[in-house]
Amino acid sequence: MNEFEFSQETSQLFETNENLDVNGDVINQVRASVNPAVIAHGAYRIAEIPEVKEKINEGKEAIGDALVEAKDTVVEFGEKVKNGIVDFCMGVYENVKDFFTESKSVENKEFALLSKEFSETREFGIQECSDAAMKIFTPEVIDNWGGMTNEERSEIAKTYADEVAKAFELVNYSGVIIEQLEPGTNGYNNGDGSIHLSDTLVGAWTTPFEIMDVITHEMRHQYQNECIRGYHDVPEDVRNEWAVASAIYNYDQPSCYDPWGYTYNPLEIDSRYAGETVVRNVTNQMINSLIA
Amino acid sequence: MNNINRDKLKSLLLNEGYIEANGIEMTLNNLMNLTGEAAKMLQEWMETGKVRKFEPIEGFDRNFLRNEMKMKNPAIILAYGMLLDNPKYNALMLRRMHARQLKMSIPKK
Repeated sequence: MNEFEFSQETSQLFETNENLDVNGDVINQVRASVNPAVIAHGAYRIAEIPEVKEKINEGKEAIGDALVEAKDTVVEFGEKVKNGIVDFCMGVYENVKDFFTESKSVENKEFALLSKEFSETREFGIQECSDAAMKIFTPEVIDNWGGMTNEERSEIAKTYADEVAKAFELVNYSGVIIEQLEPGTNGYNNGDGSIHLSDTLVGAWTTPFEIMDVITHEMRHQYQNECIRGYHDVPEDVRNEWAVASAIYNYDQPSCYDPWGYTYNPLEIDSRYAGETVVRNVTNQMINSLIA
Repeated sequence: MNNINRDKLKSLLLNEGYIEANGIEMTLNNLMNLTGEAAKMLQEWMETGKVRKFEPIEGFDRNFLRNEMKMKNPAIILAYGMLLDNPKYNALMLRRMHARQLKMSIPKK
């Protein structure tokens, strides 16, 4: 609406209201006095007064200048924030880029070498044990385990032990002896090449996973023993560690004397890792084949 | 490291049936490294010859360690220290020991 149209329209409305006054309608008179169009017309008239108009124009110019300045300030602020973020990111990148893009400098090369060899020794034979376990302890065997006779379970245990002996390349392996052991003892190895298992371990109430764990664990002790004796090529530091560990905790029941020493004995840590890793590999395969 | 007299502790361990040739030094180290309540318990045992009762931690108390796991007094103190230090993990280890009590003995060279 331009200025002319506004003036004409509001004037007409005003005239209409004046007509109402002529009709003597009091209520309509009141309504007319608060009619927005009447107010707008009044405001327009005031704005047309030269002094007022000049002040309004001055105000408009001032607001325009302020907006231009504000725009410049906001843009400048945005630039500063952006530059700050870029600087920060570049700083972070400079700090970490070497870590991701360049091979790490090894300050202690002997330690790095030791770690690699240590890992290789720790993993030795475990994949083969896991493969054998998966082949022997099939889902059908596991399902039927409770319904088998002790002889059948013993036979399976011995078959697995033979495979573990091959996996660890045992030199002095002479088989599994299943016998009555004192309550609470599932098995042991005394380094003579045989492993002794409790007859309760091949009972109906134990699980094939326990058999895998115990056999791998005990056969691993046999492997450690042969390493100490120099039958296997293992890093010298590993051989020394195992030799010292076997000399330190050479009790029948070490945990009765020193549970801390027994738990963290390097031989026990290594054997636990072997047995539990085989169980984990088997369960991993079983579970994933079920959900595949 | 606590301020326990190592020589005195060693003689007490020998009295308790520990064998020097079987790595008593390592057990001594483990005991000397005890701190806090476990170190206090060790001092009490050295003075009185008794191991005090303690509230079960993850199901393990003095009686269970002594009667079920056949632990000697210094072993009970070490187990107590383990349970205080990392209750969940070490209780798991002790439970495994109890469940399996795997024997491991390497012939002397």
